[in-house]
Amino acid sequence: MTDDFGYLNARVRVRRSSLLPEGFFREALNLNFADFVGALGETPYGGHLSGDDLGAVDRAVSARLHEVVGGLPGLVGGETREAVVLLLSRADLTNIKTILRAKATGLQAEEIRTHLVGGTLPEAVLQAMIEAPDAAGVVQGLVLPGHPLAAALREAVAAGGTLTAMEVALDRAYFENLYNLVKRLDDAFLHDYLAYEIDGVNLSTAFKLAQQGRVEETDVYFVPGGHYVSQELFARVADGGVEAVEELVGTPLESLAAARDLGSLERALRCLLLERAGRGVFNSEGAGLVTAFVRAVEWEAARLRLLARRAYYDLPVEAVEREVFCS
Amino acid sequence: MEQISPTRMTLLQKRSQLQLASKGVDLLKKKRDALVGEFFALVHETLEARKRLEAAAKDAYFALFLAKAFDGPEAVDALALGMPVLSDVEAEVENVWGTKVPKLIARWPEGAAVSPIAMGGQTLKAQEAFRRFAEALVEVANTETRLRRIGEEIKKTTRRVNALEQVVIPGVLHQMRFIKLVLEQREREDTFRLKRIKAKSEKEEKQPATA
Repeated sequence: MTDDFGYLNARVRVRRSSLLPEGFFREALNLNFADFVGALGETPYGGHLSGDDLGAVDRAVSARLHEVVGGLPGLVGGETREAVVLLLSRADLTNIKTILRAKATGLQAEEIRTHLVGGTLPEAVLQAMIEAPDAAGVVQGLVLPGHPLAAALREAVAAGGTLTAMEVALDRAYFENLYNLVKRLDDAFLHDYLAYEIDGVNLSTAFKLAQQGRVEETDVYFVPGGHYVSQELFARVADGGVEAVEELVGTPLESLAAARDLGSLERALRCLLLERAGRGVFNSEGAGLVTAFVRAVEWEAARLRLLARRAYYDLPVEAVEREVFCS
Repeated sequence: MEQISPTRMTLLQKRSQLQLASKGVDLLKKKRDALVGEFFALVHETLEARKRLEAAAKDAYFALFLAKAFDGPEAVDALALGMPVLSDVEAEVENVWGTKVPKLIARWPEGAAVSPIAMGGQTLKAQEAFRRFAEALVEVANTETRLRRIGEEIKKTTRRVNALEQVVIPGVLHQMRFIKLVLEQREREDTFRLKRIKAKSEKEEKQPATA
């Protein structure tokens, strides 16, 4: 299997042509639900639509997302594959945490399946974790294939912490692992992009902590690897001083400096990361193009779900417009 | 009509019954006025609580659909697994003018119970919005139950006042009138009888003298 981005990027270029044009979202913003489903049926999502309700749209969006990005790691091998897996591995983290929650609530295997999203974990590993009797069994399922999150989860389970403590350990290990992997892969674009993502995660976490008033031991939630959000800035924001983000003026994160609440921060952050990922389309020799593509498909999926819900619940256009477009 | 013995003793008993019924009517009317005051104060509070509930529901469902759009419906549903809904719920009984009104006191778990690192901000907002929705729901349950109980008590008190004013008191008054009539009649008969006896005895006294 080829281990360079040339082949992968050629395949990605072809897939990029199937992304929905911006005009589709402008038009879809004003459609009622029946017309929206009709319009979606005429796009590449049409092949996945198995009904005309909101659930059918959600399933079509998930299936399409899995179809266009889920197969990307299988096209390449070696470090190129690792880089692609890295971009898609957030779903793995979500799935592991879902299985842990399901174990804590005693959910049956078939029910757990309905809560899982795509991701890159092999079916056998997922099956082993789903069938595990408890959290320790889930660790075993991850240890056997040598998954990078296994060690962190094993430590958290051994410490006998709460579900939240286990999730925090997994989240931190996930980003640390990403950071180490990016350093090893030596891809300048990916390195740069991941640093922005980590800065974004830290700012978002700090806003969440500030909103919840959860100020003790904020260091536990800080993820190293960002460029512009220092631990000190993180602690100040988490402590309630959200205006401290003004320090980001003059940095590439300047667009986040005006945010004073989680909603506006996430909106600005979403657009910033999309813009940074979008720069990758010119990076045909590295992971830039695939990064831009994966994030564009994820953004497309989110916008479609949002527009489908607006149409289904017949909400005013203004209610979702600012969420669907980056000015 | 119940059989009553038209005696002075019965009249006195009926008079004290009338006083008691009139006093009861006054007290019940005062209670009803107080309940009506409480009811109207609660109507405003209930309407406000309903408005807050509607606003909270709107916010919660909008936040949920943003969360499902950005973080994926499966991931959002999965976050609800193992999430404690309530820490504790207690029911207290309050006494409002003699009416027992239950009051629910719900306690919610502290913190988000999920790692804030990788969780989407919209999901966190949805979680918080649904907490506010649940709080508003408990508030509406409390105010509307209180309102309903007070409304029922007003109806019950009004029925009692009407029964006293329109049945019991007129009945007692009627009985009193009847007793008075009988007593007056008896008095008139006695007077007449005494006059007749007096006339007869005077006539008898005169007759031997003339004989």
